[in-house]
Amino acid sequence: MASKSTSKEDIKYEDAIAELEAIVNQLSEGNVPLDKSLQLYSRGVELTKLCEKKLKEVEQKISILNKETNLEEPFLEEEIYE
Amino acid sequence: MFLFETVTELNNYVNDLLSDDNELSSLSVSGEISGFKKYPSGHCYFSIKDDESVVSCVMFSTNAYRLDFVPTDGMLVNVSGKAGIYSKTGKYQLYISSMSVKGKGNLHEQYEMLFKKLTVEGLFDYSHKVKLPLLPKQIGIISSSEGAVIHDIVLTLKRRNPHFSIILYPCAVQGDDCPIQVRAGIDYFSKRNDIDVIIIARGGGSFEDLFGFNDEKLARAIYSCKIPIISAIGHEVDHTICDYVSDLRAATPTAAAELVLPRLSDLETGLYNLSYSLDQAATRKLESEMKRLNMLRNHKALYSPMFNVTIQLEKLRGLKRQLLSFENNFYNAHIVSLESLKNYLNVSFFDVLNAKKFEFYSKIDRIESMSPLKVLARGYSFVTDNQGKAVSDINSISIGDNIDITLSNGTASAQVIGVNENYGE
Repeated sequence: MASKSTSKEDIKYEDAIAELEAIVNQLSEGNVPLDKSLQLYSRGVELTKLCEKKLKEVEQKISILNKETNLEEPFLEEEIYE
Repeated sequence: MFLFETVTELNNYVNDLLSDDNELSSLSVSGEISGFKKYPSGHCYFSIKDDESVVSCVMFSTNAYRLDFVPTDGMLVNVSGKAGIYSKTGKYQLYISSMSVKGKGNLHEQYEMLFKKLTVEGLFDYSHKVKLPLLPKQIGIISSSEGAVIHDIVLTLKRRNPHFSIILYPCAVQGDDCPIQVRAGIDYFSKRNDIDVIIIARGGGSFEDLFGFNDEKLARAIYSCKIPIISAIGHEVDHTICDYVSDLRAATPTAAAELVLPRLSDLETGLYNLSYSLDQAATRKLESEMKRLNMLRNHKALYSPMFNVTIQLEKLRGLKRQLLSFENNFYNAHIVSLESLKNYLNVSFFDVLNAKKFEFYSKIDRIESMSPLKVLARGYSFVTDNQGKAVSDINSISIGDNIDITLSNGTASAQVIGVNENYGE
């Protein structure tokens, strides 16, 4: 929770979720001053958006290493029967 | 002399002789491998020899398939099989059904020994296991590029969550090359720096088939790998050293795919719930602050600055009144109780006095009625001896004794002149 940078920050998904959970718990307890509450809320919204983005960030890629060239090559998808 | 029609017939005859021989039809011998050659068909041809002699050997693919090591020239081995003639060359050779490295013990013994050794060393300790990331960006897979395993994994991943990226490091999953190649795969992924988790996978097979995953160097490579490793070797019932030392064991390759990547829908639901809770908590907080604000805004104190002073004064007066009435009540209550206590004391004192008086007089009456003087007045008298003691027994006096007889109004001195005791009274 130390870093309150922009949404482009490099935070792991599980860490972002854990921070979001902590914020929800803190807000629910109700004894947080209003100013702090608003701060927490906006951080929570930021984290939510970040997580949403992270969920779909990875594009599907199935590759195989060519040991001779040491290059990744697409793994023949037509071979994967569905 | 027996005439063989053909050479084939002759060779077949010799072959039959060898086959019928008890010792040669089931034999075991040890020696050093030389000229080992494995053909694409899977059949292996080689010789075994000692210092003086050599014998040709053939091991057909059906048997060679079960070998748990790669035979190389110079290796000392035990072979079992039978002897026969290879008709085409007329050479006698051994048909090998099984072969093991001399002095190494069987695979199960090797497995047990390694398992114990690594357990003692702590390679299987849970404290050393690395936690898997919740959402891996890139997954490294070490497995065969052929067969069902990689297909199963990809299909399962696709079904659960389309957002994944995998790199397959193709490797042998059987035989002596297997542990070496798997280790190379771990090394490769470790150096990449963009792999979040590694899966080592292989389909089902016999204990011998899976033995490549019971390799000590491989176990140590897995142990020291910084990236979390999921091991999915064989089926549910199979346990390899690789499974034990990995950070997580999956029963099957499909299970490994399920463990490595959460379902997208589950993740979305979780995130939605959290964001809903966030909104709710913030809304509640705002509402309660608004309520407080409204209450304050409508408060009289904000209308008139004197309001507060008036309230305090009013309170003060009230307290004063309470104090006064308390003081009065206290005083009155004490006066009343003092009076009643006094009365009570008086009453009870005279009662006791009268009762005692009455008791005293009635006792005097009783004492008077028992006085001996009263009895004497009725004509009775009493007798005392010369020592003044009352005489009540006739035996205590004798004739000649001086006695006093007391009457109600005087005393007569007398001498006893006779004693008569009454009997039978």
